[in-house]
Amino acid sequence: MTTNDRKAKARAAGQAAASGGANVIVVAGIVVVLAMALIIGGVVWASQDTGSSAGGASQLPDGVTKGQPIEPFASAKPAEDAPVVDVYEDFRCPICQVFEQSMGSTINELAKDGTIRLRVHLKTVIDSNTGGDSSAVAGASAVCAADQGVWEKYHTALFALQPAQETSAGFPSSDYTKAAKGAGLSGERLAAWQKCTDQGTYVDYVKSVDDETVKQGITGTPVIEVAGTKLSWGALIDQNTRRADTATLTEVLTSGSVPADLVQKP
Amino acid sequence: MSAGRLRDHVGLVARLVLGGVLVVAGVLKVGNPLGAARAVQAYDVMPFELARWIGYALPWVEIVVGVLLVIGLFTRVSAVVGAVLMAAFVVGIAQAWARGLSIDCGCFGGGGQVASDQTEYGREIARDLGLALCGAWLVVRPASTLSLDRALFGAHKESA
Repeated sequence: MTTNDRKAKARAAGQAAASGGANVIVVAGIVVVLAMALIIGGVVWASQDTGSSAGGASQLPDGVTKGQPIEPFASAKPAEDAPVVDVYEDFRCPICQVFEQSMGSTINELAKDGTIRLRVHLKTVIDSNTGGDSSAVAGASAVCAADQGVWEKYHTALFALQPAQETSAGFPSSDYTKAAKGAGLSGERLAAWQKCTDQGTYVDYVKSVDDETVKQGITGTPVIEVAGTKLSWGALIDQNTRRADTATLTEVLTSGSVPADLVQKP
Repeated sequence: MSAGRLRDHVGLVARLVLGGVLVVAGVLKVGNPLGAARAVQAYDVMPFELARWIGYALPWVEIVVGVLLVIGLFTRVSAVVGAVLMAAFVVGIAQAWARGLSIDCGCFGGGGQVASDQTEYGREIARDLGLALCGAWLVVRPASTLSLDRALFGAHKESA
C-alpha cells in the first residue's frame, strides 16, 4: 500500500482508494438500504396478506369472543351438563369432507335436539399449506349463513362443492353463492348473506380461531373432541363403504366420554 | 493451480451452495406468509406472536443474504448471517427432536406437525450443519473466484 493510499483512507473512510475501485461505504450503504427496504416491505406485505381484509366491516359472531368457537345450534338450548363436543374443521380439507359426509348429520341431529353442546372451530389449515385465504373466507361465509339461520344446510352444501385441487385460489366465489342458494336463501336474506360474505365480515374472526387453536396444539383437521378428549373417529368409519358406525358414535357423544380404545393417539 | 487460487474456487463453491440454498428456501416460502408463520410457531421456542413475525421476515432475509452470497458482495458479512441462520436452525430442530415434537422443519415451505414416523431431524440437521460449514469457510476466508467484492473493490480489499 502506498503512502497516498493511506492518506486517502485517513482523509475519508470509504473514499475510493487511489488504486481505483468502488467506494465500500457507498456500496454498503446502498446494499443495506435496499436490503432493509425489501425485508421491511416483505414483512408489511405478509402481515397484510394474512391480516385483516375486512377493515371496518370486521365483526365477531354474535355472543362469541375472538378466537373462540361458534355454537351453531345454541338455540337448541342444550342442558348445562350436556356433553361438550368440539369439532375443528376447514371447508377445504379433504378429510374434513369425509368426516362431514359420514358423521356430520349424526352430530347435527344430537346438537339440534340439545343432547350435546356442539362447538365448531373453523380453521385455516389448507391456507397455511397453499397460501391465500380461501379457507378463512369459506369459514367466514358459513358464519354469515349461520346469521341467516341456515348453518347446517350451507355447511353441507359448501363441503359438497369443495375444490378437488388444493390451490391458493381455493373456492371460486361463485361457489359460496351456489351453496347459499342451495341452502334455501333468497331475496333479502340472500342479499344480507352476500353482503356479509363479500365484506369479509368474519374473515378476521376465523383467522383468530385458527391462531387460538394452534396455540392449544390443534394444528390439523378434522379433530373431534368429546368433553376435551380426542375421538379417533376414523376407527368408526368402514374403510370400504366409508360409512360411519353411527350407533357407536351416538353412544360416545351422548355419554360424554371417549372409551379408551377410541381415544386418538397423539 | 496455486493453493490460493484453489481456495478461491472452494470459496466460490461455498458461496453458491449456501447462497443458492438460501435463495431457493426463501423463494419457496415467500408467497405463503401464514405457512411460514405456522412453521416457526411449530418449533414452540418463541412467544406465538413473535414467531409469527419471524416467519414473515425469514424468507426475505434468506433471499437477501442468499443473493449477496451468490453474487459475492460483502461475502464475509453475508456468510456470518448465513452461518448464524443455519446454526439457529440446527438448534431449533435439535430442541424439537429432543422434546419429542413431531414437526417438519419447514425449511423449504411446508412445516408444522407431521406424523411421528415422518420426521427427518437427523437429515435436516446434517444438511444445515454442512451449510453452516460453507458459511464458516467464507467467514474465515471470504476471498473467492468470480465475486463482486473482487470486481468492485479489488483483490486486496475483498477480505474486508
